[in-house]
Amino acid sequence: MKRIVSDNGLQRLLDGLDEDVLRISDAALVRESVKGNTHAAHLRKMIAIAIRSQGHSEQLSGAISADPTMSRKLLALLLAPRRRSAAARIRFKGTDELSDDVIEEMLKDLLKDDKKG
Amino acid sequence: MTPIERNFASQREIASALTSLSDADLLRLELFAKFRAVACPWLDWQDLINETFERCLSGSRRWPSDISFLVFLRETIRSIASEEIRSHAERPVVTESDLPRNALDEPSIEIDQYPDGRPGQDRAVLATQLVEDLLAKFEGDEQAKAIMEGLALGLSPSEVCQRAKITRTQYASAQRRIRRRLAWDYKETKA
Repeated sequence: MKRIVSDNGLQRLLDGLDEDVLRISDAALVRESVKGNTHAAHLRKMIAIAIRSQGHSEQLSGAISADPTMSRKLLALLLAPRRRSAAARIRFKGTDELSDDVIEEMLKDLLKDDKKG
Repeated sequence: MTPIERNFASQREIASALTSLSDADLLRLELFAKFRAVACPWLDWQDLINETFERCLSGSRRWPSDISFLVFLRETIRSIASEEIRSHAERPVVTESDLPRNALDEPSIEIDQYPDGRPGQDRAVLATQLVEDLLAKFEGDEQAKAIMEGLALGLSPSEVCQRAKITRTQYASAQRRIRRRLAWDYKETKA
C-alpha cells in the first residue's frame, strides 16, 4: 500500500467522506442510522440549548458592560473562545442543562474567587 | 476588480435555519462532526458541534445566503477541526528533563505553561499518523481501505471504483461500513 503523506491527504480524505454523506439520499441515511430518531432528537436539544445559551451570553455581556467591576475572569470563562469550549462542555455534558440557580451559584463563586485574587 | 458583494444571514435567520433542519440533515451534521473528531482524537464530536452553533449564533461565523446552510455548517465544523489540528500539531512539547528542578513539584501545571522556544511538531507528521490510524481501523476490509485511500488522493467515486476494480454497489456497501465504523459505532467517551 502506498503511504499517504501530508496534511492535504488527510483533509481530502475527510472532505471525501463528507461529500459521500452529502450525496446519500435522506431515506437511506435515516434507514442506515439504527437510532436515527434518537440521534436527531439529541441534536435538536443541543440546538435549543445553544440558542437559549446565546441569549444568556448576550445578557451577561450586557451586564458586564454595565458593571465595570464585573470580573474579567467571568468574561473570559463565558465568552472567550478557548474557555467557552470548556464552559460548553459543562453546559452540554450529556443532554443535561444547568438550571438558572446553578448558573447563579457558579457566577457567585467566580466573583468570590476574583475578589480573593 | 470589483469585490463580490455577499448577503449574510442575520443571527435570527441562522437560529431559524438551525431549528428547521430535517432529521436527515441533522444526521449529516452528526456524521460531519464525527468524521472530523476521528482526526482530532483529543476532541469530542459534540464539542465541535457546540462550537459550531456558538460561532454561528454569536455572529463570529457568518452565513452567506447564497450557500446551502448544511454546507455552511460543514465548512464551519471543518474550519474549527482544522484549527484544532493546527494548534495541536504546533503545541510545544516539554519533557520533565527540560524543566528547572523546582518546577518538578507541580509537573502537570508547569508542563502546560513552561515556554518552549523550539519550533512546534510538524503538522504533516501528525496528519500522516492520523491517516494511518484511520486506515488501520479497516484492516482486512480492502474495499473500504481502497475507498479511503482514493479519497485521500482526491479521486472521484468512479475513479476509486476503476482503480480498486469494484462496482458502484460494492462502493456503496463499503461506504456504509466506513460510516458505521467511524460514526455510528463511535465511542462517546474518550480517554
